[in-house]
Amino acid sequence: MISDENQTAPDGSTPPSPALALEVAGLVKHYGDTPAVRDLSFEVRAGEVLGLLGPNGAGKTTTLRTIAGILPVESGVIRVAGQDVARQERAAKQRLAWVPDDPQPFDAMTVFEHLEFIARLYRVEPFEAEAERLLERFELTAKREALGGELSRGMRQKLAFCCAFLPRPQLLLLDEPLSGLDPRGIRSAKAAIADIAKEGVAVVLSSHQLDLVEELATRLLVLDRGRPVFDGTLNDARAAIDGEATTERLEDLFFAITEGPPPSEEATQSAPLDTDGDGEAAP
Amino acid sequence: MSGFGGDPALRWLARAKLRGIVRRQTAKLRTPAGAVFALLGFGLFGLWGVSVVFTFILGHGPQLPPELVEPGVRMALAIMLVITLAGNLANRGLYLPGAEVERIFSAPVRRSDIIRYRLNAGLGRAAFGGVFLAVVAGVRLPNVPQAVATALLGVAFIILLGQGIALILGHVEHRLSLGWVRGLSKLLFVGGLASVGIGTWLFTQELAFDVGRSAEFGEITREAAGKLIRTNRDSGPGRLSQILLHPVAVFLTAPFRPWSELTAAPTLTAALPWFGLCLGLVVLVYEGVARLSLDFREMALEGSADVARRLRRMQRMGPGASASAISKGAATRRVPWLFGRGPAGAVAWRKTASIWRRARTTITFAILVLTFAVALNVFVLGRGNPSSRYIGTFLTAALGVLYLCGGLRFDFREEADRLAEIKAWPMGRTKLFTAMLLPEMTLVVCLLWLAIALQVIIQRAPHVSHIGLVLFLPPFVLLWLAIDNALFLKWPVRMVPGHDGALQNMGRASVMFLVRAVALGLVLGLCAGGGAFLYWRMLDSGVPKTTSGIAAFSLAWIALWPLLWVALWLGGRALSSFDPARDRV
Repeated sequence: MISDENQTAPDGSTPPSPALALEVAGLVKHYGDTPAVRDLSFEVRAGEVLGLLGPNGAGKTTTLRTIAGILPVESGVIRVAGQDVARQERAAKQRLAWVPDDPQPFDAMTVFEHLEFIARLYRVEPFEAEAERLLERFELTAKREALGGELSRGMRQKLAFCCAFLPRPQLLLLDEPLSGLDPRGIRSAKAAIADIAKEGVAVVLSSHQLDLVEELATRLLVLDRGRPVFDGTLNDARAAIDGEATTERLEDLFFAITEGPPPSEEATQSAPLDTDGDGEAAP
Repeated sequence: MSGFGGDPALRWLARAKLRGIVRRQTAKLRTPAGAVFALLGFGLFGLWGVSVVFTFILGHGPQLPPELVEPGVRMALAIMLVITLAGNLANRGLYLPGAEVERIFSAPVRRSDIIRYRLNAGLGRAAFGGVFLAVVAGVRLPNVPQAVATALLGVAFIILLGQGIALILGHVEHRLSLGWVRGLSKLLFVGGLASVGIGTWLFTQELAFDVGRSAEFGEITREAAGKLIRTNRDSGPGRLSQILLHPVAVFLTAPFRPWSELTAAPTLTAALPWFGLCLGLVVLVYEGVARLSLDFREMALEGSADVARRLRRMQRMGPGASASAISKGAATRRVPWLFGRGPAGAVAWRKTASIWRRARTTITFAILVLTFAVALNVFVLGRGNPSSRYIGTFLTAALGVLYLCGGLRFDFREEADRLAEIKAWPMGRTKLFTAMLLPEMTLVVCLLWLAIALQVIIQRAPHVSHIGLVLFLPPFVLLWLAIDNALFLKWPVRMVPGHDGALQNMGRASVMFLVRAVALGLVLGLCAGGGAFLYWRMLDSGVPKTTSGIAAFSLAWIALWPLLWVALWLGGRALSSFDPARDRV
């Protein structure tokens, strides 16, 4: 569903852009002498789902971890809902939720206690009804009193979703969110991501599962060796690759972007959002 | 039949694994830190060896009287066998590493060769312990070559016998679904603990005589150790002799007679037949175990998965009580909110849950440490003059802090794999760092208060210094935890079983302990220095001793708090700069 929606108002005017949920400008990160992220800039607006793609070692997880405040900002600026992650760290963290690729719940706490803990940590009051609703949605009600150490990989992932959704964040960071989930879990997680985006939450979704990104993302950001090599919609990518929006799948586009000839200069320099859904970038 | 060495492919695998270890070690030695720590570790190990030899040559170390050599060796080997068996009972069957078990079982290899492969691996691993024991035996026993041969053949025999018994017990348990083997394992563990308790009690009884007389700690221990040995040697059979020469002990340790005769043989010629017999027994047990006609596959799969789970837990959380498993009924225990219901209270609540739901291990460990500390004080130092009693109470507190904090580990070590998640929490770094340590601090302080109260009640000697100690403990424990955890977050290395690099670990552990001790010494030195200065100034001004002492303590206590805050702030900074992307296990 990448940007195939018509975002033009019925009267023909362009509606006001949703608020910026995430601004990243000139982000740089090194591990020792090895550059992990090089001069990365992008924005995500409320309700938008940004698919973060790239081969292994492209810098996706590093980018997500830096946005989440797990890694220090070496150079550049990151703002979450207007709050500078480096300067207003707590305020920024209060507005975001992060789901790691392999969540490690605390083995001494029950599933419901995890939600109670998150509610206290993020000052969510009252939380009980919403917690029960999330457990129901992710089919964890039967595991309400199970300890974290007793959960399977998929259940851990579902619990991580519940914990992320409970504080109603403005920005949701997902790192390989569907790994370990069974088909039912995948369906409910995909629906939950789509729903939370509809409610106005900005989502950054990093995944190697291209079909998932193709289904959920409204925009793509492709990284390669720490550099952004493409930022735009699926149709922008098509246009950048072959000059016209043909029917290529995201998988083909991904390989063309990361392995084939580099896309045009305009596309690399943050292609504008496809606002009218005709496959052409907005002027 | 593949013979003593087993299947050629498995022999090749063993060699390839050894080459891998050497390669990893070499790679570690190429980095400056790896080389320095390895050198330090090697130096420390070498120093220990040199000290053992020199202590013997200079005649300062305790020497086993000749009449106790033969029964002493038998008893030592019997105790080693019991310890090995206790371990084997806990890991019944045949252990194969997770990466190997399915591949080897699906390969066209004889089962007897798989057992041989494991026996060879066990012997290889035990070789280091054997050499270690041989060094000790060589310097402590009268005939060096005989002692070394006894140690090496004794260790090999025990390892092989232990594996054989583990295989048989595993088979019996698996085939007949008997739970008694598990019960026996627990019984052996409790028996072992009781033996340690009785041994400690006997030891403290021997040590207790004149300890309080001397004020200098080194002199106290030297005098007491010397007295223990001299008592046995000069005044007929001492306690040690009585135990070793008891008919029951002689009967129970009789199977180890060939080894004890080998040790006690006066000449090499006299030792040769015993050496041959011991070697023959080792070969006999090796082949006997390898040819056990048991299908161990299912139990090996279960056992290997169980060991892998435990190793993973230890690799994730370290070797403290915090890494112990949670019992199935633990979820029903409600966790109290001890530090409020705000974000910091929630973080502390989460930690309290870990302590509360692993209470069995936590309490067992704490009781062991505190019983030892209280017994040491009451039986050894408490029998001397009053000042040694107070010193004893302080020693209990100091050792209690070190052992409890080091053994419980409900701190950042427990969270090493979750630090990325923790860093994303919306809290100030100092507050988060402090909240994570508060539950363990509370537990340690409460346990030590209990120990102090117990000692005061037993000795019926309350003193104003006890009140000072009780007040001093909370900031002191938190300070130690803060320094310890800040350094862990700065250089997060966990030493866990299954990882090589023992020398580097030894070197690194010594350096880290030194750094911690220096940091703590600096802080305490600053506080104590201020207090001492005030004390002498007040005494010079004619203020009574007690008033000066109370004022000095109050100043030191007040000065401790800002320094504690600095340590917590630095810990918060270390947490903030912690990079979860780097795996430093």
